[in-house]
Amino acid sequence: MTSPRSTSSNKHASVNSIRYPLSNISLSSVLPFSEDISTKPCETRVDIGQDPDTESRVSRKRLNTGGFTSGCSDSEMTDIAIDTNAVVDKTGSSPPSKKRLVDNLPAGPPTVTSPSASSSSSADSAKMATPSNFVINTSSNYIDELQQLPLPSPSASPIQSGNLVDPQNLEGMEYTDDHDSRVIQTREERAEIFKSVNEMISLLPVGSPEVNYLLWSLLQRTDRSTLSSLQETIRNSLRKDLVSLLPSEISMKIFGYLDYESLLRTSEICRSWLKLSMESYDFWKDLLFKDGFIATADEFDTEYDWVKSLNPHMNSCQITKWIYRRRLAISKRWKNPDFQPRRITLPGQGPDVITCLQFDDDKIVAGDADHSITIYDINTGKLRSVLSGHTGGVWAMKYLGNILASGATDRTVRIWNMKQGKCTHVFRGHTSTVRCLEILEPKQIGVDDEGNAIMFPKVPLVVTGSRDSTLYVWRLPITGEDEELPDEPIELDETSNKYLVKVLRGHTGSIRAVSGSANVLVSGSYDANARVWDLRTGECKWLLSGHTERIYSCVLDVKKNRCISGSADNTVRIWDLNTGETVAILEGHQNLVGLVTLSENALVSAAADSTVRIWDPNTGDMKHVLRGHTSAITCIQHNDNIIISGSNGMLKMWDTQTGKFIRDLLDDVDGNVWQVKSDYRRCIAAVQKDGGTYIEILDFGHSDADNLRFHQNADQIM
Amino acid sequence: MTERKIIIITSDGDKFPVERKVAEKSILIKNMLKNLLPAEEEEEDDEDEDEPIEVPTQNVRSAVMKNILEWCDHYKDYNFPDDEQDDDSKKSAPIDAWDKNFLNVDQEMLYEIILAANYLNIKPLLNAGCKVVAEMIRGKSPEEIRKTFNIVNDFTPEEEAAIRRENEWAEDR
Repeated sequence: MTSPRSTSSNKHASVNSIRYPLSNISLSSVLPFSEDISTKPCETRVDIGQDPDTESRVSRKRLNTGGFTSGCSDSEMTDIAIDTNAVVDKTGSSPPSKKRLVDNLPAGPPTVTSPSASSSSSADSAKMATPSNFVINTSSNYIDELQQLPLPSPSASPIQSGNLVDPQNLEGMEYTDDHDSRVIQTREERAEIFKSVNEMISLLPVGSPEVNYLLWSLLQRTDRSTLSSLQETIRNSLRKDLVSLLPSEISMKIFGYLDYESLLRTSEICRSWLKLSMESYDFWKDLLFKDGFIATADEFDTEYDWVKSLNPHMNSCQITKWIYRRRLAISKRWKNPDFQPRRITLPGQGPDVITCLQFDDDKIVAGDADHSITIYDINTGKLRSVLSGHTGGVWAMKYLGNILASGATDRTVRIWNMKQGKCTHVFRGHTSTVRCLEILEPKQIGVDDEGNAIMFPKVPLVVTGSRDSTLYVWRLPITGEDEELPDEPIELDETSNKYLVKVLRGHTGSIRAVSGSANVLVSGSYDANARVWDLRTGECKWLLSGHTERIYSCVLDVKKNRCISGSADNTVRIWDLNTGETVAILEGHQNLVGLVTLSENALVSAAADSTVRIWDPNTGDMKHVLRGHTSAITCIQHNDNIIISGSNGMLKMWDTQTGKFIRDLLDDVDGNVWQVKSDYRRCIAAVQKDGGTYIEILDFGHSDADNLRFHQNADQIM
Repeated sequence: MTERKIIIITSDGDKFPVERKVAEKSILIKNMLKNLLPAEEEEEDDEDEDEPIEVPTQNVRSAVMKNILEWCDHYKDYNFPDDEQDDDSKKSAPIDAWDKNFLNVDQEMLYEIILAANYLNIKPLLNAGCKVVAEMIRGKSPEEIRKTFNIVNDFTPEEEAAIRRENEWAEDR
């Protein structure tokens, strides 16, 4: 690993070593960075405490570039001055001798610029030697002589307030003038002077103006290549454990910028880093959100409580770290085509189309075109209850907590208590099929003058869109899980319904899609327009006009205050809800765009042209076209990591970032895939095969509870 | 009305005359000036209006202050977004190229700049400094990290092996 230069200079040391010894030795000793020092076994050890193997090799090489090994004892130095060949001999044969010379030299501060400000910080550094670490060689024969040497008086020093000496100021100082004529020529004399100066320096306090001054004088007499080595060495010597030395809140901030792998590494560095890395559960919690593993605070709390219940002795940091570990493992399983998720196949209730599907950790709820809504236990797959009452096919359904709202071709909206399996209310008013619905939960939409949060809606709302071109806004009637309910639901028509809030009129065609949050609602209609409604007043804020054919799908982008619509005119449009203008027209599909979905970093559309397309949600630029399906896409689900798409006979998974095909999730479907929904762990699909309808559960995370064993080791170390 | 001069005095006594908007990149100084100059507009034109305002900063030495003020001057006409509203996206945002170059200093100086930014309450600079340190950690092996920061491994081999085992999951497929 030695540079060509250092080898050659060793060979021809006779010339170079005469010129370089002083500068090399002085520099490496005035500044105590010389890594070689710590590596040599020696009784009087400089407390440098740094790793012997790594940096030392580098710097030794650098120091050698001057054509001289920096290590040699006082006596050897004299030898060198007399017989330069000795240096070459010493180079390989007696490295331990390097040590002693350095021991006799004082350690300066790591900074030459300001001893006053840096003294505390330099003392922090593990590798910096302090004066007490040095044994001053008082047995020197030259000690008397030394004291007779002229010493620049501190008052004559140009160094002020600890600043680096300005080279200009040195001009005119008598002992630096005319140095050429006074340069000592004989080796013996140089050796004498070297010894004397060396001894003198050791008597000066670390970081004193005199030392700084002398340092400057030496620097002036140093050749460029040594300066170059020096610069690098100084920089290295200033390396310090920033993380441990900074106030812990700042160190935590630093850790907060790390990815999970680097964050884990921090626990392997040393004890103080390990302690910091285990200090805060926020690191892992933040990463869970940042990496898209968890989307909502509720989801986090639920999982946190679950892990805590499985392993009560875990602290909050360990729990969040474990959650991260689990979520990461699951997300890797999704992307691994060889991983086999646990699969449960549930026979459906007949050959009917599943029109709507929703699930959570407890249950799967499916609405079908044959009047009923079926609830299954997601863990066992057992049928829990069938909600009957609609007299026409169910085409829209959503639930919030225990309350489910559904709309059907029978023109009614029904409200259900799922726990009890009972219909509690029947809302009449629509004059045609209820085709879509949205539930709006209370959300903060601002603050009032006194700083209190303004919430909207006050209570959950359900908005239903119908083929009759109207949207009805209802308060969602909420009944308790164990509340005593009448056997028959309460039937309410439009005139007597206290739950009816508003009727939104304006569309001139069937309403096919609705999406909303807080007070903002977007509806997409067969009249080719989308409308934006303010639910506080019921007014139509924007008429989004531009599509030339029916709108089949729309989604609200709350963060950007935009919405996206997909239409039978083969395009997708992004709209700005601040201005009502089109932001972008997304062209590429060759047929009806039936589905658009949005995640943080991806907009996905699926069409009857059997392709799925990924777009940049900011610009509308097309990123990827996913080809592989052979018929119209019937359902789609995605997040920032994966896309799942279904079509006749196929359920495919793709990588959202790269657009690459990952795997077929089901290989035995021979009919339609009606619906697909997924969360971080499960994929639920409603499919048709062998002439019947089935619900498939693919679980990528079912065995994780068994694997809960962590952190005991790290705990013991702390 | 001409603006009153601000003079920042460092711990080692150096004086830096600066524009007010430069000095006010430091929220500490901004608040200090707010108290010193209440309702500036309404004040009758005092005689001592021309007197510069001296702001002592006890914890920052001259060489560091020089850097800090260079940073403040660079951003004097830029309004940083109020606070960490959009925390997630901010955290993953890369270091500004100018900041990165600006903070390409030795570790002693970086350390002092971070401390000074913290003391003077200059959040964007503090964040940039922390990101630079995070960059020095990111993607490195423990040995490389120790080398970068001159850290002594004070674990026993058994302890180190135990921690490594705990962290193995990151390498799982």
